[in-house]
Amino acid sequence: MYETLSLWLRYFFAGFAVIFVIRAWIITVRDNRRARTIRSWLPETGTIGEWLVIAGASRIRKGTRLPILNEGMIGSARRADIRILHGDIKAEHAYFIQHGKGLRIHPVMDAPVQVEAQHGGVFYPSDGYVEMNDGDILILGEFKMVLTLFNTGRENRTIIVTQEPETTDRSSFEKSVPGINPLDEQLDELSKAAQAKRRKDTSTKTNNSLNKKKKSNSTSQKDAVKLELPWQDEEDWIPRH
Amino acid sequence: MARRRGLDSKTLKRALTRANPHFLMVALTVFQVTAMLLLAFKSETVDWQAIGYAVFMPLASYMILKTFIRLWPVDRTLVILILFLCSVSLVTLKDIAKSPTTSNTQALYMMIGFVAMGFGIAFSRMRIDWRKASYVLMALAIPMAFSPFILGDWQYGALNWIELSLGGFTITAQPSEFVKPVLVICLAAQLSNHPGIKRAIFGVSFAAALCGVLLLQRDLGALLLYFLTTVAMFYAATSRLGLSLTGIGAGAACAVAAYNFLPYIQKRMAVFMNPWSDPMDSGYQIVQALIAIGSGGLFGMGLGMGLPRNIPLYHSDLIFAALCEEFGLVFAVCLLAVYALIFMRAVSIAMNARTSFHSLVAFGIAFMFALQTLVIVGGSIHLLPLTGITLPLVSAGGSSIVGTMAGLGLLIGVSTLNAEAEANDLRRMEWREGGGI
Repeated sequence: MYETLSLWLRYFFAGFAVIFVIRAWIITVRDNRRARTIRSWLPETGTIGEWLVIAGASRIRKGTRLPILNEGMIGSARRADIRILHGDIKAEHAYFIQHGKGLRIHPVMDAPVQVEAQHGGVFYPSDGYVEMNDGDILILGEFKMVLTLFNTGRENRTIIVTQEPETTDRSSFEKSVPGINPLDEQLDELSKAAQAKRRKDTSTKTNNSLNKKKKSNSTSQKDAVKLELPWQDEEDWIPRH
Repeated sequence: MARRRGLDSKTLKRALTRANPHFLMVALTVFQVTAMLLLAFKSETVDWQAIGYAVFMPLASYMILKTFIRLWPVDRTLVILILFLCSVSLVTLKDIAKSPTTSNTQALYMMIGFVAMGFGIAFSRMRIDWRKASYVLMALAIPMAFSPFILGDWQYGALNWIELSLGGFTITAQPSEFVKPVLVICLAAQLSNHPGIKRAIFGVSFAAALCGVLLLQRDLGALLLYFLTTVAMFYAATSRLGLSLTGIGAGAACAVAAYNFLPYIQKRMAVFMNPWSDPMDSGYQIVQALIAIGSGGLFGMGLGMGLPRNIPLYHSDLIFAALCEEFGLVFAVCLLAVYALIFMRAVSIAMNARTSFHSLVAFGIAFMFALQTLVIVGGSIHLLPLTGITLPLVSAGGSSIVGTMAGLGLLIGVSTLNAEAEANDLRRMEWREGGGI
């Protein structure tokens, strides 16, 4: 009885194996095709930030934006991810890699690297690397780039807006609050939406980490309205234009 | 030329949606229950252990898959393929092993292996400085590789086992199996992100040191794996074909020198060239394996109907021959196809990894896994000289199971990082399309 059953079931096991493999093969081929599609879109979808050149070289001029994936190499060599043809830049000048909410820059050998922090101070590599945060400037000799990271999960920033100029003329607004992008209706709706979301959110982290830093350029505190922008959560982010 | 689809969140979402492997899970359950119920009635008395397996295996498979899915966004198809290999191992060992405790021990090692896999997933997801961590891992790996010289004994012509006595229990282990994933991590850390000459030499030197230790221990199978994985990872990291070929050439030169100066290698090569010259002594192992494979034919002799115990080491090194005898060549080829699918998925994971370190880890694990399968199957069918390595996840052996699963855990961990990064991309794109609201 067992022998008969075993002899019949060997065809079942062979058939099962074939069906199993065919189905797994179909799934794998489809998943690989999708993975290839995602890979081809990666330069557009997988960018975590960008470098904005503010003091450039011959081919990379001021204003050029260079996308950042998770890591890369800056240098003048052909295989560099950020290729800069400049006298101050070595063939392999520095490596950068995403680290926490910022980037970590590893200079190669004694390549000159400085970081000018957004909130002041110039930092040099120590222990083989230097940290950069969103808004910091990377200085490679005469070449300078500002780092913009998308998902920084920055703390809430308070922007002081004067209420006196009720005109919708943006130029007058810009004069009163220089250096800040003009607010528009979309931004108001965004802040309201963010505030509504925050009321639902039970997290206390955002309330404790409200950034009370004021902009260095002085504005009138009288009749000022505090506007909180939703930059405290990794899921809510605004790309810089 | 086909027009490129517009890049929007809907298209990206469709691309991110992986196929549903429910059918695979159901098919696996049917196989487990059918095979074990058949084995339960193999002898005149009902084998309750087999019936227990028929209940336990589907439940355990389901629980393991669900647990991993809940904890991390794992590649479900990959986990099911791994579960399939484990199921084949348990079914085969339950059938062919002399002792009824062999399958129980294997099941226990598999559970430990899945725990090691979980740790591997968590370890690969850690956000640490991997270069610094690799120095610590190297410091742990070297003594582990040397431990057979102190705690081990010669077995089957090699000094690659250690024996530890803990409170009356004796545990035997093969340290080279645990060092494999450590080697991959250390090489990936040193060779990632455009390594300079110093880092490359340091990483390769560490691998060379381990290879030297294995040569002294006469563990040629593991030595081959370590060496070729190092060369492959070096090439993947640096794209320097000349240097990689030089490395292979150096390895070949060392192999020729070893053949000329080491008599046991000459004997092994002589047996490989003509096993039929001494079929009852030195060639007995490979001759019996070939006879078993031939006896099975396309569909096998039937589960429980063959004579696999005639093959030396039928439960570990030559389990593939036993599988061919009982299940047939069709099933055996499908088993190899499963290994190939695991390798394909692993390479896809490596290519989609967001950092070069994770990409190299995934590639290293994939390459080592595939190479190990190729070497042992090649040895079983007389394509390559026989070595003392195991068929991953199928052969009996706790160290092999735990070491392989830890490595596969690293691979699955990289796949979870990929999935999270892709989900972030989708979220960002949807936000952008929504006008930022």
